[in-house]
Amino acid sequence: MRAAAPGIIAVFLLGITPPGLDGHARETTTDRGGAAGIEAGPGAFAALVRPVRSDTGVLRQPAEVAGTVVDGSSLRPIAGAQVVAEGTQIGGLSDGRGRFRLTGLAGETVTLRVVMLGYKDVEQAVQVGDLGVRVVLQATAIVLDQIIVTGTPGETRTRTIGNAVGKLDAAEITEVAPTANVQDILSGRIPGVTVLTGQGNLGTGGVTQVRGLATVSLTNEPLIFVDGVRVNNDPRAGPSIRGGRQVSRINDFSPEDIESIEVIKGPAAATLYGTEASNGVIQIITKRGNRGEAQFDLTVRQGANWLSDPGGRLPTNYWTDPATGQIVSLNLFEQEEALGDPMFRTGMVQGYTASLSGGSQSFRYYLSGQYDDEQGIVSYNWRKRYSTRINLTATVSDRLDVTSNIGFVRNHMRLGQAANGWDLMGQIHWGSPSRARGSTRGFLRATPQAVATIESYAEIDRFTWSTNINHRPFDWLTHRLNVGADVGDETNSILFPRHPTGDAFFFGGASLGDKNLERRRSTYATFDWAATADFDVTEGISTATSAGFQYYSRRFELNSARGRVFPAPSVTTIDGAATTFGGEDILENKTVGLYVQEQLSINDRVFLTAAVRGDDNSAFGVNYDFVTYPKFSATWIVNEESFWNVGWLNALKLRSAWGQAGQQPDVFAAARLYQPATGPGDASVLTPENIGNPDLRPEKGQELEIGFDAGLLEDRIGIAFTYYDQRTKDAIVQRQVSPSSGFPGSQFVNIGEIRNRGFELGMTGVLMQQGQLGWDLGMTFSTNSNEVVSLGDLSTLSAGGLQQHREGYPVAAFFFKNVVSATLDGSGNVTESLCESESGSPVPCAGAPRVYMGRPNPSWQGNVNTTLNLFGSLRLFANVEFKGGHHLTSGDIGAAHVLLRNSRAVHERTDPILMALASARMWRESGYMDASFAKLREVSASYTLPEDLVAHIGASRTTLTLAGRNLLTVWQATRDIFGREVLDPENRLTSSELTGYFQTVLPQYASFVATVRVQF
Amino acid sequence: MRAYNATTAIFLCSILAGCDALLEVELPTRVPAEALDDPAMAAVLVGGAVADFECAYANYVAATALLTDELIISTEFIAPTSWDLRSITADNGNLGTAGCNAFGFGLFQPLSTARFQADDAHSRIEAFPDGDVPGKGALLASASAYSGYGLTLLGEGFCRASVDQSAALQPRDVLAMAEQRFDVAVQEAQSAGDQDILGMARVGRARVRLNLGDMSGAASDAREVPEGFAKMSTYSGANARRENTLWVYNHRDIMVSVDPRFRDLAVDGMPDPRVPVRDGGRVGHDGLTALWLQLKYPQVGSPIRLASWEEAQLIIAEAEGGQSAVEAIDRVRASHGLPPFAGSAADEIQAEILEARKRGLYLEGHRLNDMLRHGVEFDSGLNHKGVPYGNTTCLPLPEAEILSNPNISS
Repeated sequence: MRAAAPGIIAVFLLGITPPGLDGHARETTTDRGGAAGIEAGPGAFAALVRPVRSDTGVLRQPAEVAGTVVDGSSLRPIAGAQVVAEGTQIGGLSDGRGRFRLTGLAGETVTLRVVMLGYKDVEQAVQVGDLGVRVVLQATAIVLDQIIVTGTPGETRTRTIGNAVGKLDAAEITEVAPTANVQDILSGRIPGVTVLTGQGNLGTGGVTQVRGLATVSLTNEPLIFVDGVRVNNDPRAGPSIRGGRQVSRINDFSPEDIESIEVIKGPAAATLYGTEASNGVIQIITKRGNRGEAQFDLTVRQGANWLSDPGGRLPTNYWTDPATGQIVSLNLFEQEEALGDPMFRTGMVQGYTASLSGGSQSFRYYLSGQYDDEQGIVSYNWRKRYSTRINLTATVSDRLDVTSNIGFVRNHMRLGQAANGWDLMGQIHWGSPSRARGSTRGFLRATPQAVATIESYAEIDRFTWSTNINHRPFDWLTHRLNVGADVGDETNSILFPRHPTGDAFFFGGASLGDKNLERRRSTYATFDWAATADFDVTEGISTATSAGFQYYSRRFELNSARGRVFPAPSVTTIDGAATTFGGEDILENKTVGLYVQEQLSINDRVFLTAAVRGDDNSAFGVNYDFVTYPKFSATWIVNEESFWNVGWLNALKLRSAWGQAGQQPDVFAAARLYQPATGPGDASVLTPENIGNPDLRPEKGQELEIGFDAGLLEDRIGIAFTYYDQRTKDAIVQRQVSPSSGFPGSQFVNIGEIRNRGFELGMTGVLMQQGQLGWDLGMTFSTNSNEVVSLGDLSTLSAGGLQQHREGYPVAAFFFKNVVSATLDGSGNVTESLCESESGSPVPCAGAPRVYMGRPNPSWQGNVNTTLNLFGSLRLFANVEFKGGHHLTSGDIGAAHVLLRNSRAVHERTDPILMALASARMWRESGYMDASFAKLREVSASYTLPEDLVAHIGASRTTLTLAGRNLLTVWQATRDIFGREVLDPENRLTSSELTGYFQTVLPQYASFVATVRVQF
Repeated sequence: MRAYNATTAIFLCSILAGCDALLEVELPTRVPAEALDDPAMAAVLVGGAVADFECAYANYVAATALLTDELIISTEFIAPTSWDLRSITADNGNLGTAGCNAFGFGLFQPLSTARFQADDAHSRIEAFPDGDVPGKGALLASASAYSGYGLTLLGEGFCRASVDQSAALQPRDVLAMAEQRFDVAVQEAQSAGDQDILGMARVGRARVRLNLGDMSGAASDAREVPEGFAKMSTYSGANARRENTLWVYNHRDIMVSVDPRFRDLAVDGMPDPRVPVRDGGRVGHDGLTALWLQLKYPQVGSPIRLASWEEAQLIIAEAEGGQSAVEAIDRVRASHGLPPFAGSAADEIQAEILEARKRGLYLEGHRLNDMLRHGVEFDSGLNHKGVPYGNTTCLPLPEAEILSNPNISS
């Protein structure tokens, strides 16, 4: 029934996003009024499957055709596809289930023409009376008229955009891949977008970066908008556990509610978003109802999280018994298994989503409710997420529509890594046989059972609201208003309950009871008005003039309390503590911005755009008023020119853009401030906090990007290529304030310049398409070259530990003494050690300089994914993600070699380099590694049950998906460091986006989820 | 296009200039520097200086106790361990930039902040009209005295130090600055009739003069200190900044233990009450080191002595030597119910003075200076956990200061 493919094309098929992951199911604006006889809905459809008895009693086929339009790659129904019986005026749109029905047809056969934006047109001859037609649409390699979000009102087509925009069909991804959160959707799928998820502590997240590290002192996180309003994008929320706060707020949103995600990458694209947008913008668009009868979707997920091969990966610890001189070993994992009390478990995953959607010409709705209950790999690590969403769209008239989106999520988690210094992995990594006979059974300081008594919670109740009003008062004028808010109430706590034995228990004074409690309310408000006026200047030449006004505010209100020493184990409230502390803080930031933009269209093929935005921000210094950001872009749809005659290259769009965007300083960085403190007699006093800088202004990101989108071989191959060159001017650098001056910390000054360059490649296509067999392949690949061009009057700036910012090198690069050779005596003592000099020649380590060793963030990354469709109902999917060119320091391993001295190599004393490092206490250096890797990130099999089977339960479509995540590390550059196995090359502390150091984090877990999706 | 953009920019600027009201933000938890130029803030200014000093002082006492032989480490955490291992290099963050309640002790920054706060308070209050500031004289005296103590610790503990972005100064130069502050403090305290600050300033000046070799000046000041005088640095459980750091690290967090050389000390068979310690009956945070508890600061709010008659007596002993020293030592012993000192030879007296300071001023921030002044050997070889010691004695000028101070060339 599918449109036949002309044979097998064994080539890579390329595209902007991985195959089948593009957002093609967007509703068109086609007028349905002329579509004679369109009907939709399960009742109507099911009834018409039966033959109709005529008045004479003779069975005859009805004069109509009905069926389903599906995506050829994902096999998902396509809503909004235009289906027309050729040669007639009969046609209509497919509904939310992809179903259509044409009535009033005549003759034995009819040719259906099916048109959908983003797909190749299909003409398919069918028998009149066939009520089970299946129309399979194949996505085009590039979609020039796809509608995207740009900041201007009205529908902006990709053909007019001079910069690359990454777009993901989140709804499709969640159907095929086990994505527990938004960062799982983003990771690896968009060239240039890096998600660094650091660990297997369920509930924590990662950091998101777009086109490298563009700042050394401010955040590198992109802005996040949900349905047009700005939301909290803090990647460092939750309680302060080892390494800091590691809960990422982007992951509060339920993937099941998301229709699509668009990523606007650098300053050239984000100019209209102004100050704060130089790191790019992520637009999350939630689901909407489609016109048609009510559609009820029920999704049930059941699965498991587990730690792969713990016995083979967790370390064995060593110690030299001074009595015998023998090296003794202890494997704590095996020991606990033998004791019948395993440290790790297989955690259950369950999730339930129900949604109701549909609508009419004038009103559409999407209602959903969801419950997720997920357990981590240690018994006390879990997350429970309850979310609900109500999205309503009212088309008041042809010229006015109003959309209101309301989402609420309650995300409660108990973290698997509790408190600083008292985490499970630390006890394992740094335990020793020397402690085996003690109360810790060989663990470092506490047993796993003791650690499990520490309770660390991260909870949030989050309400996100937006109202979007689109008004077209005249044919030539469109304006829209987005208003909304994102309000989150966080409660974070860490509790050491009082132990019955008091401070004799493992945690000393904390065992008497100790609780930290934080309540934080974050409020983000958005007011965004913009208008676009379209004019036809002459035939073929038109302009679009846009202007907008935006007001954004952020406010954080923090209340904290701490109580120490509880009278009894059952008392866990602050009030019950012998000693209590309290604190309160308020932070606020506001931005006001205006922009104007002019776009010139020539024959709808050439587009020239110029814009300028001006912003003022409450964090600017008193000596600095406002900032302006210009942009220019140009696109040319070459293949639509009359002279174009390159048959194999059926689509070609050339694009370039130059623009600026900014990032404002920290909230109060400009002002010289004192903060309250407690003084003698517990009186309130003041202490210096921030030295301030009245001249402080925003960083300016400036970017040039050029590229092309191409469709090859009759649109079977899609390529999107982009080269970008981005400079952060006036980069804000935290210059250390001279401690002797009395003010602590650093001063924010605009003295730096950072450069990021690289290319991004996305490819999609069809390897094979024949009958019931389809095979898609896609990949993304991107590079990033990152350099600190200038630090003003500073040549070097510490980034912590082994990392420094140095002119001419990547941001936060590793610099340390590189031991290249050493000599040992017969006892393993170092007699000579040589290190690398600046010139590369060896010099004695005592006087050796710190030399450049590597960068902490990937310089190349991407994914390769493939989808195999069999029999029109079975879909196999696999996605391998890779990152490389970066290094990390494993504190687990470095400290094991040098500080805790429990590795085999340090007791054998035969490795000259390690002994040189150990003798110089270079512990971080002893855990330094190339962290490049490739992982089988996702693999799944989805089966769509036969419609006649699921009809028995009243369903129109049912799919069963078996999916795995992180099941296999395909390759890792470093398997061990001086014989100590690297647990997971992706481990990292995400509490700082610059750090390349980690220690004692739980390794990533593997997941398996079985999902049943039933559509009624 | 350029003209177009210029016009647009002017348009945007004019509109944005009128948006200030939209950009007003609340600042309820912080105070702009301008607000301090108010006579009503005088007491708060001095209170802030004292608070910063007291926090810095507890850090100094704890860190140098580990660096010397007063305490040993009982955790594996690197920051506090580095003090015990005498591995404090110029680029050590705790040494240079860490705040006063940072884990592993901040030192140069808190002391510098305390010094700045005291000097800043002094200069601001001095400019206020006399009638607008109740107790102005006492506030000025207090600010001067605490500034003097901040400088004293910088001069005693650091090999070189910088004061208010000065060039790198030798300890003598810093101590001379401290003496100037104490000179002013003594005058201001006398004028204000504040005996508490007067005693503190006199002990401080005596201490500095002893360091500078001005023995007669030191003894002269010390003799003016009334018997039983003690100026305490105060602490409480109000918040982390106010906690007695020695209690926190020893009793609560069990990360430090009493050095074996300070356990079970006695005088002629009598337990020495100057060094009250006991066996904690467990191991410390590292799971290895026997935990011994100091009982000088048994609570989170236990005060630490900053200046005292006992110290003044020991200054007299050291400055004058001979019989005068023995008399001073015996006065101190008697105050503790200990028998008189039996020695008479000069070297015996000198050794007893050092021992009396070691015991009587235990965990009061004197030991490092005493070891440096008297050439007492620091620990070397391997520590009690078999980890090799470094070579820190006096504290290096922090790299953070060297790199950020325009008057110091790196």
